[in-house]
Amino acid sequence: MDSSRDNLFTRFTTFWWALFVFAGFGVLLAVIWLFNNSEPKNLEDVVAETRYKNKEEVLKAQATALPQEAIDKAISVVATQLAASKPAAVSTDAQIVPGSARAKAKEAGGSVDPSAINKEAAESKDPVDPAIVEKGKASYLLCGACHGQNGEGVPMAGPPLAGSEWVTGPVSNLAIIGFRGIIGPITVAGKEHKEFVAGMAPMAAAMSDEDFAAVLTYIRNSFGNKASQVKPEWVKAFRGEIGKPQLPTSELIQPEAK
Amino acid sequence: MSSTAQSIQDAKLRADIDRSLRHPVMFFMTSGAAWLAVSIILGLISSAKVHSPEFLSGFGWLTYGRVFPAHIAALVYGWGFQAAFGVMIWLMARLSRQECKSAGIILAAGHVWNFAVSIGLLGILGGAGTGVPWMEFPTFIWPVLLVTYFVIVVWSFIQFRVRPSGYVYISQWYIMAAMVWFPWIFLTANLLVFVFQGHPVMAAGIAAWFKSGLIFLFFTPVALAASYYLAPKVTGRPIFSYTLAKLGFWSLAIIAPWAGMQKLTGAPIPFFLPYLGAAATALLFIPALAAGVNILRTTLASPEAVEQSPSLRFSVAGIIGLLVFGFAGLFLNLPGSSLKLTQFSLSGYGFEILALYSFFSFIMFGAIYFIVPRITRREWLSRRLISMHFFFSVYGIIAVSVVALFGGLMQGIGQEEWIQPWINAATRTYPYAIFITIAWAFILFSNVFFFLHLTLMWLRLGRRSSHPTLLVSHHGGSSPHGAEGDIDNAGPGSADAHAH
Repeated sequence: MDSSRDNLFTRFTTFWWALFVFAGFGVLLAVIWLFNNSEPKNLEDVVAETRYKNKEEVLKAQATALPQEAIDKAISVVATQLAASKPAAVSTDAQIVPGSARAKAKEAGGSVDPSAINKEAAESKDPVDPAIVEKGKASYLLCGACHGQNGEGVPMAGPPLAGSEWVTGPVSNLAIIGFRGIIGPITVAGKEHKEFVAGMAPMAAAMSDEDFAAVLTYIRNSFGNKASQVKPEWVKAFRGEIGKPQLPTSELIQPEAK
Repeated sequence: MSSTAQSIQDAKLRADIDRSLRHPVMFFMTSGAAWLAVSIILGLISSAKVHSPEFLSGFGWLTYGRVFPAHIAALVYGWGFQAAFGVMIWLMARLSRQECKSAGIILAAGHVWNFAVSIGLLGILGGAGTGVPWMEFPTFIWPVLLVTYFVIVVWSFIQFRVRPSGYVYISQWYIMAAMVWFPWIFLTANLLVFVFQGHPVMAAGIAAWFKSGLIFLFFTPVALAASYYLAPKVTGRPIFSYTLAKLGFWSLAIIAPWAGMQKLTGAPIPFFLPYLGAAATALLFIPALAAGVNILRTTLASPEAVEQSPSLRFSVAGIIGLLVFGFAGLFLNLPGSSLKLTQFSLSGYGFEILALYSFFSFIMFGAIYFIVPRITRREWLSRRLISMHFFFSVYGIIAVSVVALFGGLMQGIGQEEWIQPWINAATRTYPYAIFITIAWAFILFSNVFFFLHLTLMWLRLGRRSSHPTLLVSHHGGSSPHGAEGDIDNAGPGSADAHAH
């Protein structure tokens, strides 16, 4: 056996050689990393710098203003409150989002007397514009989800519009239904419907006057219905109703049954 | 010196080497086996949680997000590394013909390693895990592991340096390579993920690279070193092809470092990285095939040795596991077809278990069944316990691997049907998850036998015999080892043998 290699010096140097080899890769990595942390050069990095700085500031502000212990303490309280809370109606003007339907309703003014409009609609002999009807038909797609694409009604979703006295009746009813929605039982063509427990949402609150008038004209002249065209200014008059809760049919003008 | 005197001298040196190493190696083997049992129990629990989330749901520390990382950590750092340490230091000492002069230091370092792993595991179960796969220990643990690792293996490095001049064994190449590669990948991964603040998505990629590197650049070379030692040693035949061995080693060294990033296919990292990872993992069937063919050709030249020797049987099973694992790597990483199906599925888990258990652990079992009798000077107590260990492990691991790989594909197919609700994909996985739990139960059963057997050997309660415990009993027949007697006064080196 060759023992000339096996001496203390060789063992000692091999120990340090091993340490060097084992750690060498990591040391090289650290050196490359440290020398590579240069200032950002391209646009993305420059923009990112600002973003990171903002993030740091936000995090710092949050940490001082909202420490974790305060959050932990508040969580159960807030959770109980949320579980017990009910949606609150708008109470001050500051709560109304600018440009929203509520804001436009406020501009349009308060309640308006419907009788003049209803009289004009009932007595109107003007021919119905087919272009308006077509435009209304395009918008009707969404209404058809509950009322049926042919106005036949959808079980549990919406009553039929075909042969409905509400549709051919006073225009104010239609406008108010569009802007406020309906809740509760409704009698259509002699049949009482109590199954629509959710009622109707104010589907027209976000529509423009022209679009809403077009849809009303469409439903008043389709599915076997025949009635006068609805003018946009009639609809506009009722904008003030937006934001009021869903109303039961008893509060509407009862149409003459067919 | 006459050849008989030379061989007696040689045998004495081997016995001295074994004696010097017995405390650290036995410690690593036994504590490793204990960690294996712990990890399999944790694996059983986490696998049960996949299909029955209400199982043990009263315990917060057993939620899937904690028990699964704990399972992997115990398997890799508790069992995998300690088995590797035991095998590495014994093999290098034997092959370099050097007695171990630092057994005490290695033993102390081994205790520190165990302590660190225990603290880390408690940290994971307590919720302080980092969430990075295979690097789950709380961040203060990894430097401890690195330093301990150095203290354990540096002596083998020195032994290699002062070895008698001449032939360098294939096993020695692999052990030296594993010794150097591990600190490279470990330090790199931990620095880039935990220390240097880099891009977080890239950190996930680096963690995936680390997982792959640990399998291919540490566990694979250690297992191959053991099998390249056991195959010629137990069969008495030379390795089939030296050239193939060189090819296997160098192809592993060149291809394996690129593998791993395929886990992040589709992530916002440079496009070539995941594809490179997939290509490298697929190409790793080349070294797997080279080593597999080499060792199988060596061992199957004497099939009776494979039948009788427990160490050889486990090694051959492990090499077959290597071949399956190599081809699974090829199959699971085809970018056009299977990569997208297996990326977020059970297949990844099946692939890792295939590597860690059906390849690495089986070869470690083979090495343990070879080494322990030599360092304790006792033979294994019962061939039936060894058989039970073997068969239940084989059944279990075939079940886990096949089911996880195939089930992962099914799961991936379900996940790809994005129009269907997610519950469809989960429902597809359900039966495979149950099967995996049952398979882990089989493996737990087998390892209970193993741990029991190993503990008895550790307690010096093995058979005092000059004949090895073989899987086939030679009742009454003549044995090449001569008449059976006590280990101290029979066998090839004894006076009895030379009286004839």
